[in-house]
Amino acid sequence: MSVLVSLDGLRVTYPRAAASALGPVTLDLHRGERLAVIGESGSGKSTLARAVVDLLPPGTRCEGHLRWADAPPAPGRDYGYVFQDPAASFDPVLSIGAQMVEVLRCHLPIGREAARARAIKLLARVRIPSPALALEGYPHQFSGGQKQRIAIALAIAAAPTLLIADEPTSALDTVVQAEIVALLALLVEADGMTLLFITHDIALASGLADQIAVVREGRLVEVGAAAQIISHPREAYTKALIAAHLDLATPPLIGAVP
Amino acid sequence: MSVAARFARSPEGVAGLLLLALLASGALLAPLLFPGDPLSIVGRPLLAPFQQAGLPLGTDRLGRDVMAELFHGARASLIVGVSAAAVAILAGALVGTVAGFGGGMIDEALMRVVDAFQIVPGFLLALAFVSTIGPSLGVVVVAIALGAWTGPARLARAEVLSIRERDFVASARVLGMHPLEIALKEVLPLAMPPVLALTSVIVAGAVLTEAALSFLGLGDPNIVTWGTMIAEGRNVLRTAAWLSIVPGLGLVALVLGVYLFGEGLVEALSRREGQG
Amino acid sequence: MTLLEVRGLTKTYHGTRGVTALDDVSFTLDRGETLGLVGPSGSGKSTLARVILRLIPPDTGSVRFEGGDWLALKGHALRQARARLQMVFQDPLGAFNPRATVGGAIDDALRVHGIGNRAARIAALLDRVGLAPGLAARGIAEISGGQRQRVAIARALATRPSLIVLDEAVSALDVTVRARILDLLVALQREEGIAYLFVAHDLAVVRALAHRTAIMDKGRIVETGPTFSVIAVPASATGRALVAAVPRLISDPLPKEPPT
Repeated sequence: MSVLVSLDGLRVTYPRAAASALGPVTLDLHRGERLAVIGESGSGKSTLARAVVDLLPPGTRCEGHLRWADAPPAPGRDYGYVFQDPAASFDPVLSIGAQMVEVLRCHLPIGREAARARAIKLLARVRIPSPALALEGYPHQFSGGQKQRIAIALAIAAAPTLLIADEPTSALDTVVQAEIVALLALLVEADGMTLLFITHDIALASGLADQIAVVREGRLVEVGAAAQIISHPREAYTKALIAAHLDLATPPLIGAVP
Repeated sequence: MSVAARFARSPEGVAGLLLLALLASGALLAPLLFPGDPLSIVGRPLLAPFQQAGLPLGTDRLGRDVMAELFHGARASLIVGVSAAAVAILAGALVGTVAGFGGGMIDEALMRVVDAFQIVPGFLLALAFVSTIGPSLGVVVVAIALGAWTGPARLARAEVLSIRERDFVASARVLGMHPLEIALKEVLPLAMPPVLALTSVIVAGAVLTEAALSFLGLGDPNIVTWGTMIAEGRNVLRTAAWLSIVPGLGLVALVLGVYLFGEGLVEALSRREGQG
Repeated sequence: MTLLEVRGLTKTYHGTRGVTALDDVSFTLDRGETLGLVGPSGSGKSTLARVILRLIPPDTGSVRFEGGDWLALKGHALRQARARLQMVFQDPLGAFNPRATVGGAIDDALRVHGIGNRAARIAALLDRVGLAPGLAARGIAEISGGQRQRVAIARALATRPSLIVLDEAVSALDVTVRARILDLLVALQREEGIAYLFVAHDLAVVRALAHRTAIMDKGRIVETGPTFSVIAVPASATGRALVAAVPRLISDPLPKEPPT
C-alpha cells in the first residue's frame, strides 16, 4: 500500500500551553488502511487527528513534518470528519435537507434538485428511515444515534478518500455504538476510504481497524497490525489497556449473591 | 494567569482604567484644587478660555469658574452613576434570585413586575419620579435605579435557573443541605459574575440619565453637575459654545472610560471561564 | 433482608409531547447487594435513580427504604434521612461546586449531619478511598478525573449510608482508572455492607459488580434476574441487543476483501 500521509516528528503545542500536547510522533497512514488511534483522555489522540487535517485552533504551533502524497486535502471534498458530539455538526435552525444540499453543492457542481436526490440516497445509505421525510426534519427531532448517522452522511457526501472519526460513539449508548461502528465499517469497505478512527476503547478499535496506534501523554507507545497489538502487545501500557478492558468474558469482581 | 494580569493585557481595559482613574482623581481632588463653593462668582461673565491665568477654562454666564465647576461636576456624575448602578444591581439580583429559586407563582408575580417596569422607558420613569418627589441627590439615584434594575433581575434569574439544574446542586440536595444554604452558598456566588458584568453599562447609562435630568432642570439645584452646566451653556450656545462643549467632553470621557473598563473586565473574566 | 422496595412507580414528563419516563416500575434491593440497572439512552434509568433520590417526584407508586415510607418524608426529616441514601454522579467535575476544595466538599456532608471531629474524619475518608489526606486543601478543579470520582465516593461514604446510587459513575472515566474505581467499590461493599443501585448503559461494567441485573427499556423493567443468567440467556429483545452490543477484543479482524 502506498503512503497517503506521513507524520515525521510532528509536535503540537497549543497557544499559551507550557508543554506540547502531542509529539514528537512519527507515523505513516497508508491508502485504504483503517488506522485506530487509541488513548485515554489527554493522550493527544484528538490533537493528532486535528493536526493531520489542519483543524487546530489558530496560534497552535506545529513542528516537524506532515507529508502528503498528493496536495494537502481539502475539507469535505478530500476528507470527511465525524466529531464526538453529533449535535455540534449541525446548525440547529436549518433543516437537515437544507444543510445537506448546501454541503453537496459546495463540493459538487450540481443543481438544487440533483443535490436533494443525492441527499436522499446518502441518508438511505446511513440507514435513516424514510429519508425523503427526514430531509424536512430539524436536528433536534433526531436521536443522538440518528444525528451521528446524518453527520456521517454529511462527512461522506462528496465521496472523500479519507474519513476521520473522532470518538464518534462516546456520547452514545452501547447499542447505538455497535450500530454506528458497523455502519462505519460498511461504508469504509464499500467506498474504499482510508479510515482514521480515534477512540479510547481498544475493543472497538480491534473490531474496526487493521492497524492500531497506541498513544499516551502525547507520545506514540506502539503501532502495528491490530491482531498483533491485541494478541502480542509489546509495551506495558498496551498490556494495561487490554487488562482493563471489560467484556462479557471478564471474570466478575464479585462472588455469588450474598 | 490571574484576572488582573489578563485585564492588564487588554488595551481597551487599560485605556478605560486610565480614563477613569484620571476622572476619579479629578473628582476626589476637586475640594483641594478648588476649595470653596464652585457656584460662587469669581470674575467677569463669559470670559473665554485661556484668557486669564487663574481661570484657564474661562467663566460662565454668571462669572463662575468653569474649571472648578468641571471638577466638582465630575464628583456628582461619578457619585450618582456608581450609586444608582449599585442600587439597581442589588435590587435586581435580589429579585431575580428570589424569582429563580422560588419558581411557580413567586416567579410569575415578580417577573410581571419586571415586565411592567421594562415597558416604561427608564428616562420617563426617572422624570416622573423626580418631578413628583422633588430633586435631591438621593431621589435622583433612586429614580435612575428604577429604570435600570430590570436587566440585572432578568440576568440573575436566568443564571439561577441554569445553575439550579446542575449536578452539584442535586448533590447538595442529596447530602441533605437546607434549600436556603444551597441558594446562598452554592448558587448565588456563581450567578453573580455575569450580573456584575452589567455594571459598566448601567453606570454609563446612569451618568447620562443624570445629565439629562439636570439638563431639564430636575437635578439637585445645590450641586454642580455636567448636565446643569450644559443646560446653562445652551442659552449662549452661539456666542460661548465652550460652556456646553467642555462638560460635554467630560461626559464623553466618563462614559467611554466606564465602557472600555467594562469591556476589558468582561474579556478578562470570560477567558478564565473558557480555560475552565 | 430487603433494604429498598419500589412498587409501581410511574412518571410522565409533561411537555409538548408527554413522555412516559417510568411505567409501573417495581423491584427490590437487599442490604449489601448490588442491583445493576441497564438500558439504552432514554430508557428511564436515570429518571428512576432521581426519583429514588427524591430529586424529582413520581406520579404514582411507593418506595420503602429501611422499612419506612421514603416518599412520605418531608423537610427536616427528609434531610436527616438522606444520610442513609447517597449518590455518585457520572460527571465527577459537574457534581462539585466549581469553587469547592476537596476537604470542603466532604466537610459539607459531615457538617450538614452534625458529625463531629470533622478534620480527622475527612483525612480518614480520603485514606479510605485511596487518596492522600494532604489532598484536602486542593481545589476540586485541580485534581484528576479519577481522583475527583474518589472524592465523590468519599463524600457519599461520609454519612454512613446503607445505599449508594451510582448513576453511570464510571462511564466518563478512562479504562485504567475505571478498573481501580470498580475495585474500590467492591472492596467498600465487602467491608461496610453498603448496597449499590448501579445505573449504566454498558452491560460489561454491570457484569463486573452487580449481583442482580434489571434491564430497562421505554420506562419499563423488561427483565430482572441474577446477572449471569440475564447475560447468558437474555429473555428480552432489549437484553439481547445489550449483550450483542458489548465490544469484544478481537485479535483477528475479518480479512479485507480484495478490490474487485
